[in-house]
Amino acid sequence: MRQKNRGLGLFTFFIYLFLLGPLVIIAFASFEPGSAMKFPPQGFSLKWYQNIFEVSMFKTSFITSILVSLIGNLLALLLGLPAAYALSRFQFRGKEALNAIFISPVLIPGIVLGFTMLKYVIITYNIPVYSALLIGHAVIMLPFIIRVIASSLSNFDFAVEEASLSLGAGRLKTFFTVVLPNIKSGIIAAVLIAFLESFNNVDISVFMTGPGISTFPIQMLLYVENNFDPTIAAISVLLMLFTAVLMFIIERLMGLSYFTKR
Amino acid sequence: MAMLTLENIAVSYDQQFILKDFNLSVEKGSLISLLGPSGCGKTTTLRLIAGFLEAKEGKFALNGKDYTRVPVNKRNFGFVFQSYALFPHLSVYDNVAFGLRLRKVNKSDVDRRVRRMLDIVNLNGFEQRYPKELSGGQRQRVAIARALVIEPDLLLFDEPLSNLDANLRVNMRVEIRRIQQELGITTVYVSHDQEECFSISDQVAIMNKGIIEQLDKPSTIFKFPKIRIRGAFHRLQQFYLLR
Ligand SMILES: Nc1ncnc2c1ncn2[C@@H]1O[C@H](COP(=O)(O)OP(=O)(O)OP(=O)(O)O)[C@@H](O)[C@H]1O
Ligand SMILES: [Mg+2]
Repeated sequence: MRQKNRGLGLFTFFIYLFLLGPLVIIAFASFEPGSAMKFPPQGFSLKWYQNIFEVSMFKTSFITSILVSLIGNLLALLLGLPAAYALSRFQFRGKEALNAIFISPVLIPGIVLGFTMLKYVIITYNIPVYSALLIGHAVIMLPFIIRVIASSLSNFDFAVEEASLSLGAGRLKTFFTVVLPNIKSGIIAAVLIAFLESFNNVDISVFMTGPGISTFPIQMLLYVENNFDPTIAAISVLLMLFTAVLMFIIERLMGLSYFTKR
Repeated sequence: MAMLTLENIAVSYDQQFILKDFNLSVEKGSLISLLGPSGCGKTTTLRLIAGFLEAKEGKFALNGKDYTRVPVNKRNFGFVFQSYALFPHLSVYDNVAFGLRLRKVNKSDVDRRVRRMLDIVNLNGFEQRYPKELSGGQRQRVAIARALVIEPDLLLFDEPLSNLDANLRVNMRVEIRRIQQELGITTVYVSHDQEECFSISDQVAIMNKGIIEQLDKPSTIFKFPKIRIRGAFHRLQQFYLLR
């Protein structure tokens, strides 16, 4: 029994080593003063952090990425909130099919989805680059919005809604004064998770971007193709911190059980 | 004078009729309970009266007014749910005030009426608590206060005591009866607990498979039961007659 536990402990240790090792190496390497990534670093310098802000394509693509993720998020929420509500609240014909359609973007490989959207939607209707990016990102965020909000609604007792109706509130009023406040944290978590998903996305974005308009992760890829300096390591550290903060907020709001449940 | 009347009501889910040619009349200010085995249509009847379900046929009137097509939120009925269905994000005070605020009652009147109602259900001092900070019996009383404070034209209970333990169940049903009589409010009470029904009702409707088999005062039902007497009912009857 003891022996077994020790084996398990060792196993867990290696898992963590494999998962976290590269992140730790990147973090150290980002402080390297020289112009090539080295581990362990030969000194300590913040100059590559400074360099991030001097590469102009990072700045413009960062703004593009933030805008696309935020506005796309809003679109996905406007569509996803009523959808999640209807799917949780009502029984109707074709409900399963609808559910499958809404969830499908997570199941289809991004490359396939991106290419299909480019060929049959973007080119067919001649949609401009910015709108294409928005549509693409709204589509990949939608399943996350729906899943997280629906999981929050599954803890909501719809008798509460009926109580509100019987006390004299109309359907719409009930939705805003009774349903929304009770799934507030679920909505915030949904928005944050979707944001991460969209902000990190490369496979859909490559098909939607066009001349002069690109997203941040794509620019990171392009940068490493031509440069070997530790700038990318510095960016990675900042993104890790950013993600950690968002995850912390999500954890506080809903628990991370959402990620382990599926 | 009959005040609540259901005439030839039919309700169906999908193709199946749960209630058909259903008739019921209840006198003003009295408490009638619907008693019957699981699945016989008690909740369906109550939800129809409340307006959560629509009748396929028939007419429902209260005080001479036809309510058949009036939507739930325009009915002014109090409904007490089996799960209490309190608003989790609102304090006890705000839960009770909810219906009054919708009715645009002015602030000082809201305050007066909420406090009076909390007084009636013995929940003074609990105003700022949230539902999750209350015991089952306390939640139950908030649910009753919330339904009563709007001065409903009709009060509806769907197995309000089934989540409580035995002792509390007896105390609460006495309390429900007391409040109901104090305010003289017409009430329909659903339960499948015979003792509960017989002890708090003016009239009991014994239901089976979507029809009312007998509708009478509890004492009459005990003396002249039209239904087959099952074990538990028989014992209860003995007890009642011996008193
Ligand atoms: N939403 C629904 N869809 C289809 N059938 C339903 C629905 N709700 C209830 N029924 C059916 O209607 C019948 C009556 O149900 P109802 O809830 O009125 O019973 P009840 O007398 O309240 O039973 P219980 O004591 O178990 O609460 C049952 O056969 C039930 O299966
Ligand atoms: Mg029932």
